[in-house]
Amino acid sequence: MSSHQKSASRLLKNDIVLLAILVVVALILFPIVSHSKKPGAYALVELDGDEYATLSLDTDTTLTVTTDQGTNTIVVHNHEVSVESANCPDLICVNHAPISLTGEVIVCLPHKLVITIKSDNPAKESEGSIDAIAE
Amino acid sequence: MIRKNIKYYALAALVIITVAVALCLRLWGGTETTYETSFFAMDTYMSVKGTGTDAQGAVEAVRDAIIGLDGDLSVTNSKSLVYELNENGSCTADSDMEYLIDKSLYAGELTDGAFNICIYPIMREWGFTTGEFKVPEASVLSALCSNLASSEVTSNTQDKSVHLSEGTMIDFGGIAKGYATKVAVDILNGKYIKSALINLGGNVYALGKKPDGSLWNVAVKSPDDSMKYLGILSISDKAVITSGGYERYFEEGGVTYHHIIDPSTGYPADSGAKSVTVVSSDPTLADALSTAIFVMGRDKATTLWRENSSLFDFIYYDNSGNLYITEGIKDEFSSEISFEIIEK
Amino acid sequence: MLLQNNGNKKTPAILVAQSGVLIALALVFSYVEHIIPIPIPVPGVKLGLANLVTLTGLFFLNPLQVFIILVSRILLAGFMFGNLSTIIYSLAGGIISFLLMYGATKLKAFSPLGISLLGGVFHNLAQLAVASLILKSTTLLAYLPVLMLSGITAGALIGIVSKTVSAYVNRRIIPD
Repeated sequence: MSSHQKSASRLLKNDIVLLAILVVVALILFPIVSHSKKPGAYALVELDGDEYATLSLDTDTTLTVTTDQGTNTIVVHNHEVSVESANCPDLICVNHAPISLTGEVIVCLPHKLVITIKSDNPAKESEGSIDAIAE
Repeated sequence: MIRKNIKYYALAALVIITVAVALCLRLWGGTETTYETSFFAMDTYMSVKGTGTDAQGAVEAVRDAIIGLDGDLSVTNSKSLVYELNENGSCTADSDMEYLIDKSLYAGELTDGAFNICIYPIMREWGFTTGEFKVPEASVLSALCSNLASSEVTSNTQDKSVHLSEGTMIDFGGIAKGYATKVAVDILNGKYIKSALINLGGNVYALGKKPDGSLWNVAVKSPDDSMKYLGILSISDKAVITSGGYERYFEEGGVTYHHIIDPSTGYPADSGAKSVTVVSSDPTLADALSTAIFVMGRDKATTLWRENSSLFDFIYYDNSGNLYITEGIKDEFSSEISFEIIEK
Repeated sequence: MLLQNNGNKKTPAILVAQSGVLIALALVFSYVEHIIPIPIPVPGVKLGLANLVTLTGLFFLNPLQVFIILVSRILLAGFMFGNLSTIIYSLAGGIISFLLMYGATKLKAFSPLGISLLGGVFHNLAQLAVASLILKSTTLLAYLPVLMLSGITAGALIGIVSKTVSAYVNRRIIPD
């Protein structure tokens, strides 16, 4: 342990170099992965990697996604998508600011749910707002 | 050594107790969860979804109860009470049968016989109970119909006994799913489930509102195109039950025979209805009425509704593609197809 | 003594008691983080208070013991405050950052601050990689820079605290 104290200044210098490298890498990555800021047309809801529903941003809808993992209630309001409520442990999806621009994402990791804003029109609309079919 | 470290052990104990208390508080805190289950009963797929502190317990209790009812209400199950009643002409009713007979007689009276649980011998003749379809002889049907006209079910509220007149047999098939829905709603209410969706093979009941506080959206399937809807109902605490000839039918000699039999003729109902949906807070009644209205046709159904508009509403789609809804659900119903509102 | 140098002999009882206390401590950190979430709505952004136990432990304890404490804490916290998938994410992040931090202590090139930086950043990168695999989606990569910066910040903060704690533990328990 005493070696730590003896060469403290050298170690601190290494720390600072490491810090600088990490920050620079992060800053370089920012423009590469960031999305275009165009308003989207619909929200794609994916569950466990598979398409689950598409929600048009033009109509206000509420979609409750229930799986064996849990429930997320997705709300489209004023062309913005947000997760209104969920029973996941971290509630990050619920605390996420509403999304509306192409490429923006809300993720609920515990429930394997990804909501992505897409630009072109979906084939089906409002399908997701139906809870049951009487037949 | 242990004495020396006693404060560390005390610390460890303290931390563990803190975590344990936190864990207990979390469990007691009663977080609401949604639980959904699907199962096969009464010859159809059923799904029940509920939200509450014990959603799983409640939903599973519903599933078990409905699977139990399936056996208890089956006319072909030799251990069921209905079987005993049909065999012996009498039995002592349990609470299920008491309720069902009471509702059936009430619905029969209300619809002037368009709903009749004594239609079982005719259904059996057509093969709708077994799947071995055949078109019965006209003479056989007329004999069965005249017998049906004189059929009587008498129940004694004192000793719970039920008697059938000679040659009468009953089947709760026409209201079994409606009754199963009622049982499900009672169980869910008893378990403090405030939000649930019960879908018993297309017989839907929306309990309370969705967990987010909005109304349930129940679509009514189009009989013309299974990918389309007649419209969408936004409802709460209501059953939505649809009857249509397209559900179960067979063809013989180029003619299609569907399973909704008119008790007055013994033949499949031909009132002009293609699909009838009843919306009511009483699922058992809704089940009986959807069949009855399909048999009665729009004019008689309108008269019935005007006299009992507090009991139910209906959506009527005829063979020519016209859509009618009663006034009571005009705010709940939306459709891309134009429709006419039946007023009081 | 509760925290002892690697060289000293430890009876099994002390080892168990020591590990138990440290698991409990890490669990409390996890719980605190669970009830007071950071108001940044990006999955994976967190302080990683429990990492304080892993990091500090690496300087004073047998690495295997630290690893056992880490895995026990993740499993227990997962059962109490999370679910199966949060356990998978935490395990991925926890194990990768543990291995890197352990490697870094062997290198003797970084102070606790630098080691913590490495741990924080790679914890997040490992979680992101696992999440992308589980969700079968590359959309999550948009979070990469944010998660790197958050790992740097969290790692630096935890590193500073660990450095302070280490000095204290060092003076009290192993006097020069």
